[in-house]
Amino acid sequence: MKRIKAVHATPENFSRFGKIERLTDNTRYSGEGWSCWMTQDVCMDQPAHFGVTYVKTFPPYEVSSMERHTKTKELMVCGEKPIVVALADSDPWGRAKAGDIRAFSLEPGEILVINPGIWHDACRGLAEQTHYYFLSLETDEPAVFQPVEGGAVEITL
Amino acid sequence: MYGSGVVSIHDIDFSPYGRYFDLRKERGVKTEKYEAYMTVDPPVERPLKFGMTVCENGDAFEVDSMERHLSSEEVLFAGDKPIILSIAASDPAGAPRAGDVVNLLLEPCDLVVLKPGIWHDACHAAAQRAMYYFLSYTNGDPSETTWVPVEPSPVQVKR
Repeated sequence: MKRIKAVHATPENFSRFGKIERLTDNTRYSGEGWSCWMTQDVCMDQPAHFGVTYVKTFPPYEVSSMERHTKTKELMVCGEKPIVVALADSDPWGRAKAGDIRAFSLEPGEILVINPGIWHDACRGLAEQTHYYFLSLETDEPAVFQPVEGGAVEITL
Repeated sequence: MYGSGVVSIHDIDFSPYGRYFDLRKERGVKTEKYEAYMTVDPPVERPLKFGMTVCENGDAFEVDSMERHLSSEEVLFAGDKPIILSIAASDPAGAPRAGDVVNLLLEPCDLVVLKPGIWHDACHAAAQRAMYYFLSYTNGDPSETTWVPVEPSPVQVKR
């Protein structure tokens, strides 16, 4: 089985898939015992539905199917523990191809917004069970996981 | 000095302050490997900026000032650890009143949307350190992010 090593998402290596923003790169505001940071602009173009996933698995794991939404971006952000996400920029009207799959890790405070049409699996914890959160629109396009063309791949660290 | 306790958000009527979503009660799936839930409707009606707060203030604390936004709702949710949200439905054109302060325990999968004008402090960690996320988009007027002292005196939050 093809193995894919997860790498930390950066603006450079992630540009094919969407955008990553590190909140702590923005102005820091603080008070007694707290600090906060905020995006300079809206994080999604339209009002989005809010989702949470509590994921109990982490690498190594197998990706055998993926989904994509051609009509909405999707924002992903982890809780206090890093997560891993597998993505592919294969033809949105075909299938995700094993050779196109890349895996990225995401630290707390980093926001991923994947472009419409990007194939993706559910995120996993990097090393332990964790929560992660997502924002996406609900469209008339069903969210259906489809088998990866070329067979399953294994995501590793 | 006023004193105030902490209550779970599950145990109060949140409607005077905004909307509360128990995400576990939204549509979702639960398997051996994961649980996922998604709101039926968007929690807010316009896109907002996305923010994160790291708080290292989980010991006993007092609420001595609050802010409120007249031009935006504010979405709040915990990262992985419980947080305490202190709010007050006092006159948004005046100051937060100590007797109005309510301290709510929010856990992961609790999502709140504060109405415009609801006074709120930065959240506190339920224990030691925590991080949480928020979404809002104020109009930039300085009064939208001014911290106003709680009157007549700060509130000591009892744990």
